[in-house]
Amino acid sequence: MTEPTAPAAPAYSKDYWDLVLDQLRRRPSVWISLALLALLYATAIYAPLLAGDRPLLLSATNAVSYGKAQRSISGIVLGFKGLVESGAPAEKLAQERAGIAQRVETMLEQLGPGDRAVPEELLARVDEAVAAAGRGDAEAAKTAAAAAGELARRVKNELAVPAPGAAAEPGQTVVLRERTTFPAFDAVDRLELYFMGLWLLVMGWPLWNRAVNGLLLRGDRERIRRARRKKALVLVLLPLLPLAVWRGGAESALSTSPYKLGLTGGEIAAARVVLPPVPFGLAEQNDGEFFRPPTWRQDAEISEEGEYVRGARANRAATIEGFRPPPRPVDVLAGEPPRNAPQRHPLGTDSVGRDLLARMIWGGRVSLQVGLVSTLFLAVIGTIVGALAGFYGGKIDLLLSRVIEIFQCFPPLFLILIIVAFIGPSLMTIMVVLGLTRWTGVARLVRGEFLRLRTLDFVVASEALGVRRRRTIFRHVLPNAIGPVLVISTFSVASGILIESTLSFLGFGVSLPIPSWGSLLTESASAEYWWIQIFPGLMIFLTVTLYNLLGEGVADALDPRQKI
Amino acid sequence: MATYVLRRLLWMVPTLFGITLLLFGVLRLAPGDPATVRFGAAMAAGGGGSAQGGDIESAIAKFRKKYHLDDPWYVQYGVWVANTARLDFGTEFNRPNVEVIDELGRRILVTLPLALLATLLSYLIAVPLGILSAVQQRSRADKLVTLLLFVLYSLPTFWVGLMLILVFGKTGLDLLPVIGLHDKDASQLSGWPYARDMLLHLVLPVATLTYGGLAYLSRQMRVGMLDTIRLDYIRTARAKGVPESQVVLKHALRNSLIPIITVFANILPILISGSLIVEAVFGIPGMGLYAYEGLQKRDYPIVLATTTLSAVMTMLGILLSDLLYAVVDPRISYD
Repeated sequence: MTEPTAPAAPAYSKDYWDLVLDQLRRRPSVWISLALLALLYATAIYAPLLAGDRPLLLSATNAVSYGKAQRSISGIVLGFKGLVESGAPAEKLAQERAGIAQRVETMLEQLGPGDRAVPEELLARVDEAVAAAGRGDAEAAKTAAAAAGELARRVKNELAVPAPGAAAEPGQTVVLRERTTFPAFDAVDRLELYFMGLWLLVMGWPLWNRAVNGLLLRGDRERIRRARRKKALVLVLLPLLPLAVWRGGAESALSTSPYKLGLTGGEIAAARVVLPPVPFGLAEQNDGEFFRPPTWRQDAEISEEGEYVRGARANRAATIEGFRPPPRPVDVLAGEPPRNAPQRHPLGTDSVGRDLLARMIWGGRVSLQVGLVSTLFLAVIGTIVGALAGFYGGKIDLLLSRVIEIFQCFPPLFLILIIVAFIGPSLMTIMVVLGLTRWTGVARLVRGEFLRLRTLDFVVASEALGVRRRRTIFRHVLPNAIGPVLVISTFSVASGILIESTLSFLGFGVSLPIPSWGSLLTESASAEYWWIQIFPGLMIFLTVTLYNLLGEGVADALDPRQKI
Repeated sequence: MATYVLRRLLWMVPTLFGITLLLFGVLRLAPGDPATVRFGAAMAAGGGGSAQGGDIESAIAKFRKKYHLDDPWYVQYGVWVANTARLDFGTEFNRPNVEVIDELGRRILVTLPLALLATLLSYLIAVPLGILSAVQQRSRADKLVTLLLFVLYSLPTFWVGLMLILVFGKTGLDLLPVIGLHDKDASQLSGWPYARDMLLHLVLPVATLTYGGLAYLSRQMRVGMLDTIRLDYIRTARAKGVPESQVVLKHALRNSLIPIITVFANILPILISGSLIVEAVFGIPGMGLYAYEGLQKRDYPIVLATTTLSAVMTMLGILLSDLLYAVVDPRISYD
């Protein structure tokens, strides 16, 4: 007799997704393209922090705004006093009070604790006067207003600061306090913040995933498998938390901000200022530098007077003939690289001197968004139509197959062009149209998968067990068809980006407020300004190649039979 | 066979109705009606003068009547279908004395040689490339070719055209003309100089039109060859001692051509939509550019005509490729 052996530990059996992940891991093309795409999306998502004219951090005293408030306050309070004495209605007084409060606020923002008493007291007296007038107590109101007038005189005399650059006069003891602000973040709205948080988690996924698997789940593969869904949920929900306290989005990142000009003129005296790596705004124009070649090139050198030193542009004949405006000196603002530094405009500028690199970083938002969102549309439409046709068959299948055929007989670019040309291009129209016109591939694929799957034993069994049809479709059949849909979707993102750029080239694309790579590249048709055509085109090419590589790899991983 | 073709042709009718209905729907959804598109500029210009304003109003009324713009959509659609069935696409909005069908005839004469040349070239290059990378599967040459085609496939067509203009045009190497089909003074030339001028103008457009199809075709060729070369009859041939070159070029080639011969039918839809981008880049006055101009000017008759025509071409192309299957592969029969 043999010794009874101890029952073996239940072996972990790999499920479908384990196998797929194993396959994906084995293909360097997949994870390299995934990593590069993640980086590309990062530049688009973090665009406000990477390229813009708003400082990321600004510790500064703003003598100009303080001085304005401080000088104007006594006059306004005097007017207020006059109104109180003449017995003006309470609403009128409240209006005046708002103007005073705003100026006091501006002053308090920059005053040290020792100097705050007078303006605070002033505002309190003004409030008192308004309240008294509201009660109908004219005497009390007049007393308070008189006290406020006295305080306003003190503000004017005692709290003055020297003008920028000038020495302090005797008696001027006020020193403005530095305030630290984060202007770039003020221009981030809630949606942007959510994606910034989400992307932090996505990019850090290899790290925290390993930590969670090792420490929390103790490497137990069964538990890891069960935790998959929870992890995805946390990934999506966790970035929602900061939104609860976020008030940003006060400024629009699309408009040019005054910070750089203020810093240059000395009106904002900064102890510490950190500008984004590309210190140019999306819409920031620079008249002296229109169509400037990439600044690392020899022919981009500009003299003090704003004239090109070398190359074809140095020849002034073209200027005289009126093809170009006369040269103007280049304004180099605070925080920008010097006039002829190679990193000033590494990719050149456009017709009004906007930095191409900054615009490309922002433009990625539109291009990547169009590709992704339109693919989402087409995957959903295609899956629903294909599932209905394939599962029910019969008349429904016949009808839906006709519809698919109709859409297929339109040359795809044609239908898109017609809709965009006649209904008008906007970002939303283009995304919807790119989804609505290209779902037939997915639909045919899903239909085929359903036709194949519905005769298999597990579907028959589920029907025999009395499972509802909807549940059969969504829980049992659809998951088996998702792999091919994933593959075709990956390729669709690539072709969506291509089509969007083609639309822009043909003049039917979006250009405002944020340009896409396609519309950037069509800003100049002249071969003389080659950088405008080359660099955005390279980005399109890179993105499309990465998506095609990814799609190829995923197709390989999902279906080893297709491997040739 | 004849009954099969007839049945397929009959099936095309409802599809065509679907397509044109969809097209009509899109055009009707568009803001603004054709009359404002047609007379918008004139109304803006002559809005002040009353005499001229009256002229325009009567012209608009005539125009609305001619195109049945005040009738419900199904009447408009019916009239259009009846006219189209007689190959009457109407006149252009912007040039009322030009018949769309005549212009189509002129334009197709430009696009046809372009599309034919490009197709021919892509076959001539794709077939040897495909054979090479299939025969030497996983060799360095195969990997290089695959990578190259992959890159070609990911390039936006219009961008390739722009880059070619950059490199070969005036500001680059100044080797080739980049715009149009003829030089300014080509009308004075005749014979060989004229043909030479036109051929030079065609080099870049044909190259641009070729590369996209090239990538697709040679991948198909590679797959077809790989599938064939594993079959038993090839092994038999090798076992008999047939030289490898003979095996590949004589025995395997014929069967591996089947998938890419059928793709040949794609040339029909390319006649319009495929060449749109290339013609727009190089300013070649062919069918594609005609459709594009119609879209830009919102010229309804042109848009309707070119779209319907390209839809018909696509359907005929699909039918043709199905039939070609039966022709090149006797095992397939539609009877």
